[in-house]
Amino acid sequence: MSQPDENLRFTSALSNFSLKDFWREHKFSYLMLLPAFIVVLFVVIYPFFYNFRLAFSNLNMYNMRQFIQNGTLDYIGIDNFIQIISESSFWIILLRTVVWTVINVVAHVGFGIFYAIILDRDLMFKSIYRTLLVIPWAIPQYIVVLIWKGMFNYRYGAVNLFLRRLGVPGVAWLSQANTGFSAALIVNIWLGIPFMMMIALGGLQSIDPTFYEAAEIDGASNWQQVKHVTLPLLKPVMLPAVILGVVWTFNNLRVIYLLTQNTLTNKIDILVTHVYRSAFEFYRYGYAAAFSLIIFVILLVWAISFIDYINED
Amino acid sequence: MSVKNDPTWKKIVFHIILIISVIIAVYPALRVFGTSLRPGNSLHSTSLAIIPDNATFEAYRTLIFDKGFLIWLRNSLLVTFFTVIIGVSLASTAGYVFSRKRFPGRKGGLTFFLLTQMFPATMLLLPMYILLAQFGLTEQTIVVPFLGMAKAHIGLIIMYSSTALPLCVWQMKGYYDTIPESLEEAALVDGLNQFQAFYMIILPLAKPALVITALFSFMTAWNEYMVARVIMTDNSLYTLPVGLTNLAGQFNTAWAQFAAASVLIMLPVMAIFLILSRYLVGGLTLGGVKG
Amino acid sequence: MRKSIITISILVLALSLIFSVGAAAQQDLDKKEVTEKITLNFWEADEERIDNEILDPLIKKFENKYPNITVERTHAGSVEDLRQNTQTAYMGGQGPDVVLSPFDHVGPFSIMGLAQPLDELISQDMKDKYIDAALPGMSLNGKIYGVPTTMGNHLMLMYNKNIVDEAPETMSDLIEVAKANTVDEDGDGLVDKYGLAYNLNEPFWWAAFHGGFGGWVFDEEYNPNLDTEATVDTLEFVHSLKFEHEIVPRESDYDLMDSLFKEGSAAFIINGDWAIEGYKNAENVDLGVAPIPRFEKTGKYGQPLTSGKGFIVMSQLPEQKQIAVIKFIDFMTSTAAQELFVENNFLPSNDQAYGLPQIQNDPIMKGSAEQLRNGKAIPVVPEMRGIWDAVRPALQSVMSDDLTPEAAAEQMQKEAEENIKSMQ
Repeated sequence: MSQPDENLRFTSALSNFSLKDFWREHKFSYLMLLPAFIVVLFVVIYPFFYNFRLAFSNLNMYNMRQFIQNGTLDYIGIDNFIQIISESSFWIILLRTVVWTVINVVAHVGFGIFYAIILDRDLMFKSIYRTLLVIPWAIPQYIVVLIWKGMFNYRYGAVNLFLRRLGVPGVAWLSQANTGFSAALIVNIWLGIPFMMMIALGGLQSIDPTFYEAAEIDGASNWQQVKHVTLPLLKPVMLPAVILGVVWTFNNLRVIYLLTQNTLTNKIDILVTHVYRSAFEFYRYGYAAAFSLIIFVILLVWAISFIDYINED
Repeated sequence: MSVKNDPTWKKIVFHIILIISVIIAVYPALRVFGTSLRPGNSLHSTSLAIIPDNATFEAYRTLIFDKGFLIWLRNSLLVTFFTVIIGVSLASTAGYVFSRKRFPGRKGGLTFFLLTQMFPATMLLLPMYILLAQFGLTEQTIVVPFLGMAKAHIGLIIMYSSTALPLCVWQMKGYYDTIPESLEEAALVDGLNQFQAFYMIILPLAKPALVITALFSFMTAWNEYMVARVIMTDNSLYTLPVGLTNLAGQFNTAWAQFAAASVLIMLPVMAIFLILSRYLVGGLTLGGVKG
Repeated sequence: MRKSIITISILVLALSLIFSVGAAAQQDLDKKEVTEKITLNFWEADEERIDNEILDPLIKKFENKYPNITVERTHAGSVEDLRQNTQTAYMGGQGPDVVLSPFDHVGPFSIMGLAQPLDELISQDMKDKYIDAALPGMSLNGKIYGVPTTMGNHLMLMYNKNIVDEAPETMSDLIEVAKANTVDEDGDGLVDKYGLAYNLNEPFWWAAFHGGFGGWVFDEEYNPNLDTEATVDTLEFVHSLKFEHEIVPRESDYDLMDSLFKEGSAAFIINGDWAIEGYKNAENVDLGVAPIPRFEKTGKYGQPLTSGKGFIVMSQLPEQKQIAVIKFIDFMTSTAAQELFVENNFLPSNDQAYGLPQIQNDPIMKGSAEQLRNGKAIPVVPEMRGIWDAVRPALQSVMSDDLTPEAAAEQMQKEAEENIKSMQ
């Protein structure tokens, strides 16, 4: 598009702008959107700005009293942020969080789509399999994570008992950082597959069967059909799930916190567990708020780049 | 649904894969069940047996009849029901315009919904509470006597809906994107207005996405613990997750009852999934459109 | 003569006036009356059994005695939940009027201004009711911030009389007996019954041994004092239990040790007074209780940290509510009320209650009281948290054989200092 054309369009748009027309054209959109927008705004904006304020302060246990009584804070500018970025542990934890997220999401989506494709075919007992495979998602997380913790016990845990039966010596899962990390991965992957499976199942319904028929006629094998028909057409449905999956996994506090509570404290922390400890065990609210902002910005930048990248093709 | 029919050997392979997967998926849940049957409140046992010696349903009995389990259940159903209604309605409408319409702020709006998920939830708890308190939505007073719904419950419903919406809006949008716009065009030609076209033609075609939205809103409300824990102080208003933690002490958790409650909490989710999964894989053919 | 009598009388009068005005700062709310209808919000984090068998019946009796006052009890979840939610609710302008907390909540609550100093609100008569160790256990910086109801929360040596007859006197005895009771019954190469089970990686347990080696986590100014010979000795000791003597499971947290002992798969366990009831009721266990044995090197017994639970009053309550709260606390710590706690295996704060037959005649309670004598009060300063969080990872590393005791002691000291600094 050449420059003069653009300018022309712009100025003509400006001069043609009428509020009435604007409203008429977009009324439907905004009205349909409004309720959702208001609800989310209400519950998110205030807490966000509350934390935004705290991030630039040094709120901790000792100056909490004046904050409660008068709402006064000692602002310290960007000191929190500088302190966070200059701690070497920050970068290690960040790296670990990224690794954690990538492995989890790839596994969740990969297995999820895998099971969805199988369960979409003509198989007996399909609905039974489907329902049972959802159990990891349905059962309350708190107790099931603790049960998993027991299952990783060196002497009595089901995992080692099973391994021993296969002739593999038991692993002291929760005594070492790297095996502990693997254990956490196993638990979180187990927890997260059903969700992606459900979304993929739903998405598969939107694919017009004629595409498969056409591919069949063209002589495409099963795998080729999956690669060229199923996966591309699943994209619009899976994409939001993947983005949110990344965000949720990145910020997943519970699994690592519960598994490491008295086994590997501080040893395989991801960013959010560190934030949690700072705030609720050491009362470093200003620091924790700043840390949370950093997490937020990291995810924001990633999400925007990711969406742009996907939209390019 | 794929139209292909697989050869038998392939089906057997699939069955084997599925059976192994189901065992892995279900085994920890079975251990939870085993804990609920074990007398004496032990979380772990040294035996691999799922059903312990002297198994008893005592924990279930105490839970349902002596504790307020049924009350918690009613409160959870209440809060969850409204969360699902709000979640589904708002997401289906908002997702629709994001999919179909181009309007100023569209991209920003989509990103906004996404943004709300990115801030670590634990830090939002305190200001959320303060905000709700300012609107009186943390009060334990009952506003709808028939249902036993309190102001605090309304606070929870608002909170849960807003937590569930981002995924649901995006999910609905993504699904609408796969439905060709020619359908609305045909409807408009037939004399329907925009809303009618949406409601009567497009929405029914988006059933799988609606199912996911409903399920997800359900789970968000059903299992949420942290906010409910702070807001609910009156025992008769507890939702299930909060009641569950009543059973946990600093060291002395009543594990049998805790496990029993977890099993019972899981059942409605499974039931809802069973009912709704029909629509998830209902098999809609859009064949009529292409021709 | 007359003039001097008049002068002296005036002086005496003036002096007594001054003293009486000074004394008026002491409000003695437990002796005042509640004139309005008051509802008290009472939050606690106790297990159900305590809620049902102790707290609720006492509340009922209290409400009958004072018809003006209603007490709403809310179970706030775990102890952590109680602390966090009380804080959150307070900041939102809601929340409890009084909480029943472990002593260590005094630290954060007092510093943040949530806890009401009680020195002037309770009368001397009421203060005299308690054993000497009680009120200081909930005081900080010279002010009383809470009133204890139960003392203890302390670890002791418990044993299963089905497996071992009596408690050992020294640590070497314990190790010997435990070794004899660590057996691989089915010959599969894996131990089935352990001599000793305890929470291997948890600082609270480690601290009991640390005291036995003469160590203490703080110096006089409450700075961390972890890089000491006592610390290294203790770390070597716990390491040896697992790797040299092999009398403990390789990985054991609270739930595992608890399950093992209840099952009858562990001869000895180190656990606290809260667990007594559960073990008394366990089918496979005939419970015995004794102090943690003596260490030969120092001649000292194991020294568990003692704490307890008590009432903390929220600050800025209107006067009538304050009166109601103090009367509530007074009632709940009366000898009659304390008897209920004693029946549930807790040691009371009320001095008179120690004369109750339940304590004098019950061997388990006696053992518990004996252990309490060997214990040391846990400091309620918030810096304690910084210590725990420094000990824990180092202890875990030693127990997984990744760190030597000397290096661990150094690491603990360094981290504790960092933690405490970061809290300022």
